[in-house]
Amino acid sequence: MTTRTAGMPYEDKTVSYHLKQAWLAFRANITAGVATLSTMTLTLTLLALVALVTINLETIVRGLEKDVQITAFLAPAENISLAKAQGEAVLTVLSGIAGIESSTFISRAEAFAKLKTEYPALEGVSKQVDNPLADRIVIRVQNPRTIEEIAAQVKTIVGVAELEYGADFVNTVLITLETVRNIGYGLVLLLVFNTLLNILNTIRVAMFARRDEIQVMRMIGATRGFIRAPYVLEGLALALLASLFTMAIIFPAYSTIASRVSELVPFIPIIKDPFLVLQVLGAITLLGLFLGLLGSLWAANRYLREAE
Amino acid sequence: MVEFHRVSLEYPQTQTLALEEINLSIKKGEFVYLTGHSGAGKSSFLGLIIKSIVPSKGQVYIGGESLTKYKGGRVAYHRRRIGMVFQNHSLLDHLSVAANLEFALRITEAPKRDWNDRITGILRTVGLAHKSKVFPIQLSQGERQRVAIARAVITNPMLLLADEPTGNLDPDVSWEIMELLSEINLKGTTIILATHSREIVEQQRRRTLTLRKGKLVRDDPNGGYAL
Repeated sequence: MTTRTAGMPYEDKTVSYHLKQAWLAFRANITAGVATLSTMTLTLTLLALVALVTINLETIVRGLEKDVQITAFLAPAENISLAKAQGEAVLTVLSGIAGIESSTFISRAEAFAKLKTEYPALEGVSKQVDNPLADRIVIRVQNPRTIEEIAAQVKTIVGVAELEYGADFVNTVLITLETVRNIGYGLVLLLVFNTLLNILNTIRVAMFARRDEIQVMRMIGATRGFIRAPYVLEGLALALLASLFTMAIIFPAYSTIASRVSELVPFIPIIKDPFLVLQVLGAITLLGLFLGLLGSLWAANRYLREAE
Repeated sequence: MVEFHRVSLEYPQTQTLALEEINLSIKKGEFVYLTGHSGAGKSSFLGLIIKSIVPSKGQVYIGGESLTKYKGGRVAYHRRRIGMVFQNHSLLDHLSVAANLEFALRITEAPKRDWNDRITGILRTVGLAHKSKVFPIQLSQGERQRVAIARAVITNPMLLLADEPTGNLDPDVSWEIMELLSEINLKGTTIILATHSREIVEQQRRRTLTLRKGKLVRDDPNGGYAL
């Protein structure tokens, strides 16, 4: 209880006093403390996993979104100059539609040349058949979610014969990813709530175990803040420990998994930047501390209110 | 020092009227007995003074201030002006005698430089200077009660409330405790002592308040036991 020195035999520091009381509270109630610690570590670990998976999914989605475009095939024209004039006219109308990032006219000849470059086997065939491709305008949109809306407008432009865009695929991928992410967050939300209740119970049991002392404190004139302090510190210490355990689990595990995935499926852009991973874990630690603070304050205030 | 203005207290859950229309005034430096049978309202009376309970009607004034406006932290600071001694002493058994006293000084935020002198001084007053390092379990009932009194007055309260402080003690030890309380009173601390001990009330005649079924049925400046 006391740190004795020659000059001031009963000298002690208030913070160290509260820390010592927090340790005593934890030790007296070690089963509940360990249960809270493990639940909290599990919650924070899952949360870190969901966050990292979400960040990676976002990167993949952004990559997919870049590839989203509308190809507007133009009606056949009698000659090249008419085809160009038709293309110009359509481009002018397109410039007036909101949400379009860029639109590029590609003549049927350019398209065929590109096709032959991509598929050299067609070189021989191309000498025997006419160019079957149409003049086209490739449209990139600012937001892939507006693609249907923009496509509907493009379809009405005079000279546009047909449209092609991968809306269904993109929408399916986006909806799937969002569902996966929302289920993850839903689970985490439940675990966060469970963690809060665990902290609440741990602190309540700790306070109940020392109810005589708390009663004496109240009678002598201790403020609520003074009575609460060791229990709030206990909640924060549990949260800090859980965060450290989470870091110790997630950081090496994620680094290993990210490297393996990159080796196996190199076209998937997995985040390997350790600084970004540490940022995520830092945010998880802050959330853990917030939960620890909230849970312990809630429990201590409730206990003291009931004791009044 | 302590004033009750038409104070009534009803416990709504049991619909019990613990105190009814209490009017009284206790002056600074007085030593007052509060008597009555068990359940007469003595503990409720003391509870109103420390604001562990609030009156259903009326006002309690301490030092001229109504307790009604005291909320949260102010209640804690209000209690620091009052020392309390209970029948069961309420010492913390895991702390030594000196540490129990230090506990009170820490909570009331007394300057740390004074702790040593105050602990040494009060232990001398209660005659337990040689037992500062022992734990309550190692003390006799009377010694524990003396430590409880020491803890109640080490913070220099203006008012000391003692709820049956001699209830568990034999007559000789009770007398020692009463002498100690008289000594504290002579130094200027106002004391309200709740007791149902006829011996105490008869031997040291002081102003006596008698409660019966929540009513103040007697306020006798000359004292004497009559329930």
